[in-house]
Amino acid sequence: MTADLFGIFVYGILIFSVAAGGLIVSALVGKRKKGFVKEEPYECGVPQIGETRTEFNVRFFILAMLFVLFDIETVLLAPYAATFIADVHEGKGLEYLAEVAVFLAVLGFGLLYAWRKGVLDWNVPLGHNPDEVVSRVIAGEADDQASKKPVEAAHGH
Amino acid sequence: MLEPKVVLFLAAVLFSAGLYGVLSRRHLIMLLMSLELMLNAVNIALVTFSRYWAGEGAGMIGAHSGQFFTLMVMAVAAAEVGIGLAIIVAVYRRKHTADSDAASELKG
Amino acid sequence: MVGDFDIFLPVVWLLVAAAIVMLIDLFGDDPDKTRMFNFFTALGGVLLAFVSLNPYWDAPPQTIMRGAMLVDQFSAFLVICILIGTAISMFASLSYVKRIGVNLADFLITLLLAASGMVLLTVSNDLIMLFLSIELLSFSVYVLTGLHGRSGRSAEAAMKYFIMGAFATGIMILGMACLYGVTGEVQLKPIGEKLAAIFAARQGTEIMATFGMGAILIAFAFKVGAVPFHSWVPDAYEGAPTTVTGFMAVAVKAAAFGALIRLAVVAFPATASAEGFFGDLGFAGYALWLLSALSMILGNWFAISQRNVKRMLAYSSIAHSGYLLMGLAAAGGNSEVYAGVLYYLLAYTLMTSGAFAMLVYASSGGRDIESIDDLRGLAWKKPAVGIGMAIFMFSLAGIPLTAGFMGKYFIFTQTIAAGGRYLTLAIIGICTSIMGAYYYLRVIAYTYFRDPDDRPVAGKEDWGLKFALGLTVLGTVFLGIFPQGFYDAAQDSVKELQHDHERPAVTAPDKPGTVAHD
Repeated sequence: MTADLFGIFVYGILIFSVAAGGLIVSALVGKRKKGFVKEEPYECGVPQIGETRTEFNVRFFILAMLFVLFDIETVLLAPYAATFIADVHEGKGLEYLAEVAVFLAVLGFGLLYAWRKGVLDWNVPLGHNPDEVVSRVIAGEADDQASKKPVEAAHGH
Repeated sequence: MLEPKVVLFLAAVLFSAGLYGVLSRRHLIMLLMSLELMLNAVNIALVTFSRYWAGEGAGMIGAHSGQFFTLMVMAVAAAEVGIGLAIIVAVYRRKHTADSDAASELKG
Repeated sequence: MVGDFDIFLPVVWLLVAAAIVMLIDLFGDDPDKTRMFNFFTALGGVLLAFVSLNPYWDAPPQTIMRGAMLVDQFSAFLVICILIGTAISMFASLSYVKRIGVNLADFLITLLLAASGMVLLTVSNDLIMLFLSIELLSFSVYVLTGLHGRSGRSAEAAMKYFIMGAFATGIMILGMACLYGVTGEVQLKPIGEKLAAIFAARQGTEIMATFGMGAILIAFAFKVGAVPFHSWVPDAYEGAPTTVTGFMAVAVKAAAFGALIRLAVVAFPATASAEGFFGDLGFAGYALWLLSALSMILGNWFAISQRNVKRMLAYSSIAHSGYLLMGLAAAGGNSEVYAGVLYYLLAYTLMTSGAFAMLVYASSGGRDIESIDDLRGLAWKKPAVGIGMAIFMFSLAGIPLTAGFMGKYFIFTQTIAAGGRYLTLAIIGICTSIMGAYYYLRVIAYTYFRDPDDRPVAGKEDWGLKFALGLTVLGTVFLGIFPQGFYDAAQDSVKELQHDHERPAVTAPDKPGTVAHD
C-alpha cells in the first residue's frame, strides 16, 4: 500500500516541481514589457475578432439533451446483456427480450416526441409543427417565417 | 489495491466540491455541473461499498446492488441534465441570461 | 415474472394512458378535436388504475421484482389519495390549461407520468426503487411547474424548484449510499434488521448510519417543504399554473409522506440514534420534532403577512407539512399516530386540491387570482365561490364538521397521548392552528364582507371544474361528518405496515393465479 503510493507521490512532486520551476525561472530571469500587443491572446497570429465567449444556438443544447439520454441507454443495456447471456440457457430468453423491448419502446417514445415536435429538423423553428412548416415552404407562402426564425435563434435574439 | 477509506475520502472531497459549487455558483450551467458532481461522487462511494461488501462475502443481491445502483444513478443524472438544460433554455429565452440572480421576478 | 405482472397494473394503466395521449397528440390532425378524447383517455387511465388497485385492499402484502416493490394496504391507501389528487387536478385543468396557452395533451402526459412515479414511490421497498420513483415524480413535477409557456414566472419557478430538488436528490443519494455502506443491503427490511444490530453493537458505524438516515430525512424534508428546507415552496407554488400547484401540494406530499412513513417503520429501527445526535428516542426524534415545530410556527407566521392568495396557500402548505411531521415525530412515543397522518393526508388531498380548483373557478374571468383583493365581495357575485371557498377554508383552518378538523383531531389527540415533549409539540401545534385560522378566515371575510368591485363577473365555467369542485366539497364535508370508516381503514393500513416485519410477506410465485378477490 505505502510502496504503491510512494511512486505516485514522487511522480506528483516531479510534476509539480517541473511546472512550478518553469514559472519561477521565467519570472526570475525574463524581462517584462507591457503593451497592447503583448496583452493580446495571440501575439503574432491573426488579429482577433469579436468576443471570447460566443453564444451558441439553443438547438445545440436541445440536441445535447437527446444525445445524453440515448447515450445512457447503452449504460443500462450493458448489465442487461450480461445477465441475458447468463440466463438465456434457462429458457428466459423471450421474457428478457420482452423486458428490454419495453425499455427501448419507452425511449423510442421520447425520440418520437422529439421528432414530431420538430427538434430533429434544424430549420423548423422551435415550437412549430414540422409538417406545417414544410408544407408552407413547398407552397411558397410565408417562406420568410420559416427562414427568419432560426436565424434569429442562431443569434441568440 | 486501494483501501476503501481512501476512495471514500475522494468521494467525500468530490461531493463537498459539488456542494460548494451549488451553494456559491450563480451561473445555471455551473450549478448543473456541480449537481452532477455531487451525484457522481456518490457513485464512486457506491461502487466502493459494493466492492467492499463483495469482499466481505455478502449475498449476491447485497454485493451487486451497489453497482446496479450506480448505473441507475448515472441514468437519472443524465435525465436530470436533460430536464435541467430544458429549464435553463426556457429561462434563457425569457430573460436572455443564464444567471440565477436574474431570475428574481418571484420574491423568495 | 409474467404471473405477478398484474401487480404493476395501476402503474401500467397510467403509463398506457400517457402513451396513447402522446400518440394522439403527435399524429392527430386537429388539437381541438382530439382534446376531449385525450382527456377521457387520461381519465380512463386513472380510473382503471383505481379499479385495478381493488385486489390489494384486503389481500396480504405481496412483493415483486425480487422484493423491490411491496404492495400492501398501506400503499393502496396512499395510491387512492394520489389518484384522487390526480383526477381532481385533471378535471380542474380541462379549460384552465387552454386559457393559459398550454397544450392539454402535454399537461396530461406529464401529469400521468408524475402520478405513476408517485404510485411507484408508495410501493417501493428498496432504496434503488425509492430513488428511481422519487426522481420520476420530481422530474415530471419540474416540467409541470414550467409548463406555462407564456409566463416568465413559470420558468423561473421551475428553475428554482429544479435546483433545490436536484440538490435534495444529491443529499438523498448520499444518505442512501451511507445506509448501503453500513448495511450492505438495499431492501428496506434487511436494512432495518442490520441497522438495529448496528445500533445495539455501537462499534462506530452507527455514526455513519445516523448520518445516512439524517441525509435521507433532509431530502424528504425538501420534498415536502418543511422549514428550514422550504425556500423553494412559495416561489414554485406561485409560479406554477394553479392546478399544477394543487397537484404539487397534495399528491407529492401524499407520496413523500407515505415513503417516509414506510422508511421510518420498516427501515429505521426504533432504537436508532447515535449518542447525543438525535436524542435518545425513536427515529430521528428531535430532528423531526424540530422540523415539525419550525414548519408550524414559521409557515403560519409567514402566511399571515401574504396578500397573494397562492403564496398564502403555499405557506399554509408548509404549515400543514408541519402538522403531518408532528404525527411522524410523535410516532416515537405512540405509533398509533400514523393512522391519523394517513387520514390527514386524505383530508388534505381533498381540501387543498379543492381550494386550488376554487382559485381557478374564481379567476376564470380571464386572469388569475393574484391578490386577496381580487376575491373582494366575490361571494355575492358568485355564490358558489363563496360557499365552496368557505368550506375549504374552514377545513384548512380546522373548524369542526370538516375533514381538516377531524384530521387535526386524530393527530393532536394521539400526539398528546404520547406525552412528554410531544405534548409540547401538540401545544405548539394547537397555538399555531389558532394563528392559522386568522388568515384562512380572512379569505372568507374578503369574499363576504367586503364591497365587490365593478370588475365583470367571470364567464361560463366548464363542467370539469364544477365536477372537481363538487367532488372536493362533498368529500371534505363527508370526511368531516363520517370520519370513522376512513380512519379505520387508515388504521388497518398502518397495522399491516407495522406487522410486515413480523409476518413474512407472501411472494407472488407462492400464490399462482395471483390474489384472492375477497
